Amino acid sequence: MKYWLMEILACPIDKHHPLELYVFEEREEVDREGKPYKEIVYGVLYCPKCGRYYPIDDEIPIMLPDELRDKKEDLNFLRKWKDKMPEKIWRDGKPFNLSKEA
Amino acid sequence: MSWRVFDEVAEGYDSWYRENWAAYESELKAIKALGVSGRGLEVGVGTAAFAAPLGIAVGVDPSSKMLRVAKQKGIEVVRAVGEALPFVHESFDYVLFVAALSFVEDVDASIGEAHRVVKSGGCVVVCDIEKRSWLGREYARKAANGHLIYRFINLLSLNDISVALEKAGLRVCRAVGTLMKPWRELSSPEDPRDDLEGCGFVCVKAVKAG
Repeated sequence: MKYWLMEILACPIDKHHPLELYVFEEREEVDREGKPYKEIVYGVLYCPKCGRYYPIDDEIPIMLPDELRDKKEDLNFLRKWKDKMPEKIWRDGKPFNLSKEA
Repeated sequence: MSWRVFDEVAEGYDSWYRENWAAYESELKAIKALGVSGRGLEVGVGTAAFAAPLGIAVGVDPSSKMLRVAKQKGIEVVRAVGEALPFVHESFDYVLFVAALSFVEDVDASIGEAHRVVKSGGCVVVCDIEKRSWLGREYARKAANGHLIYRFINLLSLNDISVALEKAGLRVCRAVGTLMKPWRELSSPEDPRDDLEGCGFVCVKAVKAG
């Protein structure tokens, strides 16, 4: 995911903007005109209004409604990156969180 | 959950476009004839077979495997559904659906969201197989026979598309059609037509009031 997308991304549920962005891993790329840019490889987006988080997994942000989210994948994502994100996300984030493992 | 099937077919999906290039080029020409420009969003972007040649900036799709292919073509992608778009109001100059509205769970919600994220004076373009055409009948037969993908299709007529757009507050301003005959009989791409009678594939452009 490129950084400029943050200008237009909103929570798919309550449409809140701006979202909070926490980057875990990024890489430098060069575009077709030879200009350098950064690609976010792993990170998380967080809606401060409703408390939902949206993983950025292998460069693609996953912003599906609750009923289409994969609980197991979401929990594994939180476990993997727990140390790099605020507690409010892994402990209290919606729709699935690690409060029972705290 | 029709979109899950697209994870199964992502690999090799683009080969259809190569094998049926005259049909694919006819569809591209029809979309281009509607003259959209600026920052675009494609809903149901798939492998970006259309988004890439049309220079569309952003694509959404619920299938992660299709998005991997789109991403490699330089499109910014987000895994999301048309019924709940993750974008700020009025973020795009146009929103495009190509053979995508016939696969969404909720047509009205998807058009409503497209209307929300498009700028005033911008447009929503819906391109799809026309339900009552020769091609629509062919797809209905495939669906009835349990085709892997088309069993999930909800074919729309030109009227269904126009009604959905108008219901969301958009004003239909132009429509073109193409694919007058089976694409195996096509030796070169067809030019888009304003007379939609007999066209298998139709594109409808609707404007958001400024």
